[in-house]
Amino acid sequence: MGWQKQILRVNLTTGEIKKEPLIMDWAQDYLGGRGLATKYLWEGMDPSTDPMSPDNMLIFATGPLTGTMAATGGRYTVVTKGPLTNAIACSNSGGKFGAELKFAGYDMLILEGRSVKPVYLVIIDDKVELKDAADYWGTTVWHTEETLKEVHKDPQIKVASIGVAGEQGVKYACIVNDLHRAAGRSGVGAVMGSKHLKAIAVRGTQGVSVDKPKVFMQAATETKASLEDDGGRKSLTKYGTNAMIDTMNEFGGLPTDNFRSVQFEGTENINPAAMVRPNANGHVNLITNKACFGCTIACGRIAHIDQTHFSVRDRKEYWHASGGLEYETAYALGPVVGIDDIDALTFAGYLMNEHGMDPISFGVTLAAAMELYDLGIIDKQTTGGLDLSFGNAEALTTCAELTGKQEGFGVELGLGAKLLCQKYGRPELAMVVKGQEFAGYDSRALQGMGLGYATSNRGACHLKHDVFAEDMDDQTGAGKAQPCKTSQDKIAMVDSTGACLFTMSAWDTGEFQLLVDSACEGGSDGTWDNERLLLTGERIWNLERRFNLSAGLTRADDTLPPRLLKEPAPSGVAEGRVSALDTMLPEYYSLRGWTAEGVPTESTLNRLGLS
Amino acid sequence: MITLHLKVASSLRDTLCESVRESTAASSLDESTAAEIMQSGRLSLQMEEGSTPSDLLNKLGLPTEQRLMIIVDGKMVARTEYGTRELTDGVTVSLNPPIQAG
Repeated sequence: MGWQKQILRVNLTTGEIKKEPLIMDWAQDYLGGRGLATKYLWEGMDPSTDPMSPDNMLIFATGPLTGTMAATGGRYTVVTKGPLTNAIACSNSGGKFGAELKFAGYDMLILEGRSVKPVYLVIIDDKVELKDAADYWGTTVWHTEETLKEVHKDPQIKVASIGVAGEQGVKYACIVNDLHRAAGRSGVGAVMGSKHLKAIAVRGTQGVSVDKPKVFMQAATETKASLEDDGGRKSLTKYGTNAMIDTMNEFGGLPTDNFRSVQFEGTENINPAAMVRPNANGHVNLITNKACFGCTIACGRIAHIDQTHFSVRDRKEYWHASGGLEYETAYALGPVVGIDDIDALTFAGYLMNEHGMDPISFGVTLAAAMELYDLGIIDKQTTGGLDLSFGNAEALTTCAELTGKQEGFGVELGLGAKLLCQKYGRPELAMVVKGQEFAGYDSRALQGMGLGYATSNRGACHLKHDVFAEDMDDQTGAGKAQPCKTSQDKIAMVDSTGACLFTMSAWDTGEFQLLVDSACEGGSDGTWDNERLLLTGERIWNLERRFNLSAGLTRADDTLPPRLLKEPAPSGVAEGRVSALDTMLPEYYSLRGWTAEGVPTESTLNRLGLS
Repeated sequence: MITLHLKVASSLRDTLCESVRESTAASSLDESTAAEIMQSGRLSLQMEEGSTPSDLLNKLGLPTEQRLMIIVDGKMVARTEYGTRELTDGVTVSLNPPIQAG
C-alpha cells in the first residue's frame, strides 16, 4: 500500500491506452516520484535519444505519500530527457494535480510516441480517452485549463497543460497545473509539446490507502506538529520564499546584472516588505498566501497588479489576482536583469504561468541578452527595436510576452542562455550548468551551492542539495563535499515520497521514516528505516548519473561558467573569492565512490544494486 | 556608549516589532522605534561600550537561540562569536534570517 499499484501507459503514436500493474520490486527500490520514474525511464528508453523525438518518454509520477494525510503530500514529478540539457530532467510540482492523478488510481502516467495531431488526455478514474485538441492548440495555459473545466462540466477536474512556448519548443517551457503551479525546470513542457499533447485533465474519486493506517495517522499528526513549530516553516508561511532576497543581498550572493554583481540596490522595492507596502496609489501587491494539496506550509503567494501600471493599464484581462513573487521569480525577473519594478516583475511572472515558461531560465536568458546588448554584440536591429539595457522594465515584460508567443526576438530568447550566447559567439556569458540556467544563489559566496550546481544531474539547480548552513558558516570550499553529497541523496529520497522539499526545514530522515514505513509495505527488507531511505536516495542519484553518462555527458559537464571560476566576487562576504570547484569536485567524486572521471565504480554500482 | 546602525531584513521586522510590543525587561525599544524599523528596516541604536551581538539580540528582544545571519560592516559574524565579538562605534549591523532554499 501507499502505492495504487497501477500505472497508465499511453502511446500517442498509436493511440493505445494500457493499464499495467506497477512493478513492485522497482517500487521497493525506488519508492515513487522522481526515483521510480527514473527507473522506468532507464529501463524504457535509450538515453542517447533526441529529447524532442517520439522515442523520448514523458513520465508523470506520484509518490507513496501523494494524496495521503501527510503534510505537503500533494507532489508529483515529471521525468524525461530534457531538451535544455540533453540530460535527465526531473521537475517537481505541487498544486492539486498530483493528488488527483493518484485518486484516479494511478501511481504513474507514462507517455510515449507522438500524436499526428494535437490531442489532450482525459482521465476520469478508469475511463481514459485521447481527445482532439485543435480548439486548444495555440492558446494559453489559462485558457486551456479554464475551458477544459467548462467543456467537461466539472470544476473539480485538475489540469496540467502547456502554452504556445511548449508547443513551439521553447527550451525551458514548463508544464503548468492548477493555473500557477508548475513542473518548471529543464524544458519538460517542450517535450510534451513535441508529442503534440496539449493537456492532461484528470478527475479521481478513488481513495488512497496506506499499509498501517493507525500508525500512519499518528505519524502524520506528529510530523505536522513538528512542522507547525518550526521557525523556517513559520517564515515560509508568513513571507514566502522571497524572504530570502534580503538575506542573499546582504550576504552578497544575489546574482545581479547577469552575475556581474552580487548585490542589488533595488532589493527594498521587491522584498516581502515591498509586497505589503501600499504604493503611491494605495495599491498593495500581495493579497494572500496559498497552499498546495495537503500542505500546512502555504508558501505560495497570490498577488495583484496595480491597474495603472504600464504593463496592464489597458489590459483588463490581467486585472485579476494570480501567482505572486516567490524568491526565484523575484530574482530572475528582478536583480539578474537589474529591475526593481514590483508590478513589472509580477506581470512577467503572470506571463510565465500563462504561457508556460520557467521564469528562472527565461530571466537568466534575458540577462545574457542584456549583457550581449550592453557589449554591443547585439543591437536594436537584432532585438526588433527593443532597448535591452539592464534595468529596463518594459523590455522585461515585452520580452516575456514575445517569448511566450514565440514572436520577434522572443524566438531567440526561447533558445535559452547557452544556445543564445553560442549563436553570438560569447558562450562564456551563459550562466548555466549543462545548459540549464542558475537559480538565485551566487557560487562565489555559496561554495557548497556551486558544487551542487555543478554536479546536479539536471543542470544548475538549487533544489537538489542543501549546503546552506555550511555555506553560511564558511565561505571557502572546505568541508562542502560531504554535506553536498549527503543532502543530494536525502533530497532524491524526499522527491520520491510525494512530499515537499520544504518540509526539510523541520524534518529529517526520521520523520520520513515514520511516514513512509507506515504508508508502504516493507518488501523483503521488512521496514523502511533511515539507512534504507538514504540508500534509496543514493541509488536514485547514481541511476540519474548513469543515464547522463549514457546520454554522452562527461566530467567536463560538471563545471561552472568562467565568470564564477575566474572573476572574483566584487562585494559581499565573499568579496575577492572565486568558486573553489577545482578542489571540491575531486573530493566529491571520491565520497560518491566514483572514478576521477566521475563514473560510478563497479563496487559502488554493486553496493547500490545497480550493476 | 556606542552607536550601531541596524539594517533589519524585511522578514524579521515584524518579529522584532512584536517583541517590542510585548515589551519585557529584555527589550527596551519603544513604539515609534518599532514603526521606524517596519518602514525602512533601518535604525540607529545606542549600546554600552563592549556590547556583543548577543547583547544586541537581547536588547531587541530577539531570541538568541534562533539561527540568524549577522553581518557587521559586510563581514559575517560566526555564530560562535555572538557572545564574544565586540561591536564598535559606528558599525552597520545587518540582521537576516538564515539562508534556505527558495
